[in-house]
Amino acid sequence: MKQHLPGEGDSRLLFFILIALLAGIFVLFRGNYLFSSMVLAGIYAISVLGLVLLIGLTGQFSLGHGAFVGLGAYASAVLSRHGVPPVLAVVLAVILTTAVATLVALPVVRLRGHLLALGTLALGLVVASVLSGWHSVTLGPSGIPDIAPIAFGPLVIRGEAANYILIWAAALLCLWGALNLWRSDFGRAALAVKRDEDAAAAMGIHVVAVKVKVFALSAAMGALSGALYAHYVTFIAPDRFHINASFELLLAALLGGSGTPYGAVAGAVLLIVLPDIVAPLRDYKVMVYGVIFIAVSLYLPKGLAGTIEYWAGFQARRRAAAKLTAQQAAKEGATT
Amino acid sequence: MLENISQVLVAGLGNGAMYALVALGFGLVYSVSRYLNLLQGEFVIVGGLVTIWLTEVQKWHLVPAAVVAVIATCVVGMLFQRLTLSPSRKLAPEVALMVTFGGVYVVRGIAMVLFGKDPLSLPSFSGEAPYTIGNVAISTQTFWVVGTLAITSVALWVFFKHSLTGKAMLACAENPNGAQLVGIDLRTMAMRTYMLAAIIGAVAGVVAAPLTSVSYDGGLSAALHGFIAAIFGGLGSYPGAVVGGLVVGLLEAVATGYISSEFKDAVTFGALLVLLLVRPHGIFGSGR
Repeated sequence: MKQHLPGEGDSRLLFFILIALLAGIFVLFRGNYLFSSMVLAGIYAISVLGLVLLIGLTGQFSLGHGAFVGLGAYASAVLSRHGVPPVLAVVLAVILTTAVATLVALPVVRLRGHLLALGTLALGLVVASVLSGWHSVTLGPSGIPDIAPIAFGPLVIRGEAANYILIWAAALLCLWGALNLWRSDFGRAALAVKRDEDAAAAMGIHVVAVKVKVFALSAAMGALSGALYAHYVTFIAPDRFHINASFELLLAALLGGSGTPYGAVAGAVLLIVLPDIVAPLRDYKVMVYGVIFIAVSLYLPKGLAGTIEYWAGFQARRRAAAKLTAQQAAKEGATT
Repeated sequence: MLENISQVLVAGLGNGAMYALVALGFGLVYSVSRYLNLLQGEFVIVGGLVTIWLTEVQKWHLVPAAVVAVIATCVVGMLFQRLTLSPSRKLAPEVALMVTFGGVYVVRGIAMVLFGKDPLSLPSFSGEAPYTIGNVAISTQTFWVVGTLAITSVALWVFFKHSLTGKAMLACAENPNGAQLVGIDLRTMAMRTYMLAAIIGAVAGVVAAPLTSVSYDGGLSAALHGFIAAIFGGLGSYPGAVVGGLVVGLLEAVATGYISSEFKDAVTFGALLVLLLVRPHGIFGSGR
């Protein structure tokens, strides 16, 4: 059976539609109070994309992805507090976090699926407790204020409009990369690992290497999103990156769908919209999030994007089949 | 210095016994159904919160309050298992873990609404005055928790050794297909195991409530400590769970006493990471 891969059909078209949508939002809603949510959606899209790669490509689940977002945010903030130019700080933060993730991943990815998930949950708690406990560097639970905004030479990225462009440009770049990665030899190798590790190994795929690379890449995206967040909001506190943040990221990835990188964008936007939808429920919000999380894991394994894609593909196949039978009928009519 | 060490170790003993109880519940569900049940920590929280609410707000006597709390937790566990994890559909272990992760937030959300966001606490069962041996002061509640662990361990041993249900559960854990062939209903057994795990969790919550204040969002941390203990002793190994729980409690106490209370989570969870890498099957576990 041919493996259905995203990006083989009209995914390029979808990409340009997405750019047009984002540009439209920029033009129409720049002054709107919802606009800041869209900036946040871009930040979420990057970190959720990391998770979608991890789940979608190699089938690994991380319950502690907030750890990498937090590491990226804090590394960038601390570096820029000590005089490193913010752009360089973001780059260094991503490199640093990726290095940490690789060191952790090298042994951890050898664990079987659900043990890996718990290992990452433990990692998330370790990072959260270090972020609030290591006062001399992270300034403790009260957080780091007055983080310098990103600046390219004289061009300072300040305010919502400028950040919207920068953050969504970064998100689209990551998305483009992810789409290509998915279709590449490496992506196919990773999908093989997800399907059947032993068979993949028998085909000559270095399973551990593939898993470590995907894990490191997903951590890098988390760190990038964290660093961009820190310089956009200019204030970070450890509780933003606690296990609840990891839960929300995972919810977004599952809800959006881990079968295609577009799922990350869908998930991120849903994550931003969700609080407004469940706002009337007030205190029942946490419970509702949990129920949605369970329902999605049980009944919607492809997520929203995957389900839509599946039905679109289903309709397309049905149309093609109808066309074929019509042609055949016409041919038969001609011969008789 | 020496009495200092013993004071630290005694402090760890109570928490350790609580973690051991959580680890026992973890191991039970894992050995029969093969998934990790993150809800185990919520059972502890629900047991503790319901007891506190009944005794402090409704002014019930401790014993009926505890009994009602344990039954309530058991019902919560049964409902959750029936509605989501019921083995009529075969779930991948990762998916089952995800479902319990979502369940943690459902229970947490409900607990927040019913019992509020402030941490609650319960007075010690036998008075607040600590028992002293030499220079070491031991909270009387520590005896309750350790005693509960001992009684639960013995009861479980008797249950598995001498009751038909217990033996059937062991059979399911050992060989699910074989168990089904001799007429054991896997669904029923999975459900009973889950209820038993919920009961053990609730009992741990009731006896440990006076030691540590109970907060609606403390379940995940309790579950993880129990999980570390379970992994330490080897998942599904009952003596391993008891030893593992005590080791984790002592480790945490030493980390709190000699490094910093802020880093105690970093030390224990860091230890879990190291342990998962060096011996993923635990100290006593078999390489299954």
